[in-house]
Amino acid sequence: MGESAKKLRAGAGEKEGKYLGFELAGENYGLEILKVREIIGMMDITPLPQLPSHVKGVINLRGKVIPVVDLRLKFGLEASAYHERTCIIVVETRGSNGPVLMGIVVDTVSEVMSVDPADVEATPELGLRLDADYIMGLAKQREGVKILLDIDRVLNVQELGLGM
Amino acid sequence: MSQEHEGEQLSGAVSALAAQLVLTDPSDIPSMGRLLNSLERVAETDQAGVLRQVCEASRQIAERLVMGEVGDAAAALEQVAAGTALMQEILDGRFKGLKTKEMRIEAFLSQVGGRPAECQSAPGQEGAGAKSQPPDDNAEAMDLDLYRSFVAEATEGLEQIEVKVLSLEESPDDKELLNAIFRTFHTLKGTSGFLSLEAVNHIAHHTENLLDKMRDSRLRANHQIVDFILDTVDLVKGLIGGILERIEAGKSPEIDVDLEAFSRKLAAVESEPGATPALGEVLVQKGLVSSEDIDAALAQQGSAEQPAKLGEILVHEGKATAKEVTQALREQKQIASEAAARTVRVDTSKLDNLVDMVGELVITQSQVRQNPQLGGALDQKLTRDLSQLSRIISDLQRTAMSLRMVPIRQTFQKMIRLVRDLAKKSDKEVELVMQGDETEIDRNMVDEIYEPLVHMVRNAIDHGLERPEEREAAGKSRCGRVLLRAYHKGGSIIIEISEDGRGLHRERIVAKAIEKGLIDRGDHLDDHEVWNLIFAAGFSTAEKVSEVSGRGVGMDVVRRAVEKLHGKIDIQSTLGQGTIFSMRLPLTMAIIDGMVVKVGPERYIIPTAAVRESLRLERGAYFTVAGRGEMINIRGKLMPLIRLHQLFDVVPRYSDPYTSLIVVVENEGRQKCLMVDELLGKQELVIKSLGEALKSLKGVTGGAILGDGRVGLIMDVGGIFDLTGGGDRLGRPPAMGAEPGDIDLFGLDAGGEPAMA
Repeated sequence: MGESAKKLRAGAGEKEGKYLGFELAGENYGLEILKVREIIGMMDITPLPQLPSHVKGVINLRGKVIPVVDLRLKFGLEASAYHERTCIIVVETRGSNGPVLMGIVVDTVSEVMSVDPADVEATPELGLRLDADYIMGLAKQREGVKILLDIDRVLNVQELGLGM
Repeated sequence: MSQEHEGEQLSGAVSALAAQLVLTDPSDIPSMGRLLNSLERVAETDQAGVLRQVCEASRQIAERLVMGEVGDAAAALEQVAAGTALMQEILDGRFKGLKTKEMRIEAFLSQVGGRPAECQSAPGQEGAGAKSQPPDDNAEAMDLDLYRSFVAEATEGLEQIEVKVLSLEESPDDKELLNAIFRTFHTLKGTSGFLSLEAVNHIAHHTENLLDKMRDSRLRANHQIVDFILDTVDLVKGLIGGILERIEAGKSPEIDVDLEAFSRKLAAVESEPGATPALGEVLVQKGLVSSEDIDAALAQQGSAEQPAKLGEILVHEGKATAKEVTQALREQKQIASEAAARTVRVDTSKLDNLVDMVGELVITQSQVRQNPQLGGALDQKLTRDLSQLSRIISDLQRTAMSLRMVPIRQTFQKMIRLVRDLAKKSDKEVELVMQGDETEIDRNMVDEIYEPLVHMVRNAIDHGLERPEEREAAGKSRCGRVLLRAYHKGGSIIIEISEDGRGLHRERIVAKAIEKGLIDRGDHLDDHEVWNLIFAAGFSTAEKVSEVSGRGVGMDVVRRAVEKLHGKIDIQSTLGQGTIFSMRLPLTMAIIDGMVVKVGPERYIIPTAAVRESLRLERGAYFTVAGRGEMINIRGKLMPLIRLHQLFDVVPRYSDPYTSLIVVVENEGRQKCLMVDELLGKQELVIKSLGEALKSLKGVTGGAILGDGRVGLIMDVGGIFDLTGGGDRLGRPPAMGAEPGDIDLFGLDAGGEPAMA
């Protein structure tokens, strides 16, 4: 993503709209609902060799083979055993040759929320464990603060350690 | 030409115009181009000039329509229609008095004639003035669009011509074929005309005239004409190739070509008398008559007052039976009729989706059937319905897979041209025979096999076949024969390229291989192993191989390409009699014949084409080299051991090579042993891409959905070899203390029947 796009992101426009809220190690996150293709329960993942541990492997999504990334591991959070509320959010991200389907493993999906741009604050540079680039902003909601993720960046092929 | 005949032609042209008009959509440029062609055709035929004014006025309207200079496109097209109707009426001779006719023409001209001026001056007519006046960006972009659709259409047309012209050589009397070629050049002429591509227009125009003469049987297709048309196709391709780039760069769309040279060649071709007819060729090809007989018959045909048909002469002279001639004629016709097969173009991604879905349907179905709840309620009707369902599903699966299949003909036909060109270049006489070109193969394999096929055909002609003099000296016919053959065999397609050339020279290959350090001595190798040496990389790179062995140009490339497709390549050769290369390829890249193995909790798929055998080790077969490199000794052959569980990072059930199973795999002539827990069996699996994100993954080519819906990874044997490194290309581990002579070069005698556990 170029500089101009970054600036755009700083403006209010892009943060507005519906977000899918999910939990990860007790923190609340959100990602643009337009990127979400579907939410599925945990299923058998076939592990792949020679890849960073956060790339869990591949699953069979009704005949298509798609990679799955464990977001806890990706963000350096403590790994946790999968339980019945663990689910895979299938997202459509930008690849260099068009959209790419990928699954992300999250603790649980919480809600669909509307975000008012007025309530979004820019990402503070706090020496976060998370790369500030991954975060579009912090949305202040009634129940607390949600971290809005820029999922295209999080699941970028280079960021995932998949590129050569 | 008689007047009556001309009148008939003219009304024919006008009817064609009327028919074209119905199909014309003003927003569709190519259809407008065709309309313009029809109009021009009328103008050309109308030598007496009865329709000249009306036709010219209609043409102007149509041209303005194409250029977007007309505000109301529908109304303008109406005017063209009115003009066409008027032309039809004039030809029908419906006007009693000359006056009525004149008046009607006047009326039409005044109705449309004033219009262009109106359009440009009237401010109310939006679009018209704006677009025709100083070419602003919009007009330029539109122009570019015009050129773009022209280039696309022309390129497609030219490609079709190539194939058709080549068939024309075989059947010069096929009017359908001639018409098709004629139409393409005609369209090319029309469209290039209004795009002011003068050179293209000039070439197309003159080629069209040539073809017209052929349609009127004033000329007959022969080698020279076919060559000329092919050259013309290349010339035009070259001309239109860079049009878009040149326009975008603000240059003139056309480049200079030597039109005079073109005209000279054309004149030379036109003065050439007709040569061997196709019927004769068919008969000669079938071995029914000799070419001398045909020549004699032709001479007779040429000198006769009332030329009889070739077939008749041959039968009359007793050279061929009537039945044989009829059969040959039928064969001739068949080629033309097959082209008219009905097809629908579908995006391949839709087909892939369909195949994916059907695959899931199969899995879901088997899961439903295995549901224990069903076992309890064993109802007869339910059982019947379920088996009906599974029959339908397997039919559906078969149909879905067959949608991707196309005959290999297309690929074979491209070879015709290649063979012609190569034969000419190398001064050899080559006859190309194709068999089984209706054999079907997956659409996406077509592109993949093209390159290895070209290599092999080139190799066969360049190095396999001798020069005519050499052939004569060896007691063979001057004309070498290359046979291209395809057939299905047990779920694979076999493509054979055989030629009756000089054959492989065993001693020379062995000498060369020793010189290259590929082997130490050759006496223990059987022929098969020797032939395989020519596939070794580097066998042919250093010097011109043709001087040494007469073989081997880029054959390692061929083998790599074939192995990439999970296929195998094989050679049979007899010195002095020729060589047969046969490629065995899977029918589709979508399906892999795989051996499913289990390592720890995971299942992996090894392409069966790479598997040599599987076995349990006998005591003492396993040893280590320098404490690290693990080796296996199977019947005197030493191969490195790869522990798959280490490579794929899983916990295996057995970590002792003696308790686990060993699978011997081969890639590019190297063999290695894979250690697995158990074999689950052989299975045909649909290959799924792991997607763009995982394309850089080594050792894995894709995934496959297994019977329980889980994904199994398909191994890339070449990738695994690279990952595990060690050993040179021939499978010799580094610094190994064994006697080099003990190492079987390619270990081919291990091939054959893999022992399934």
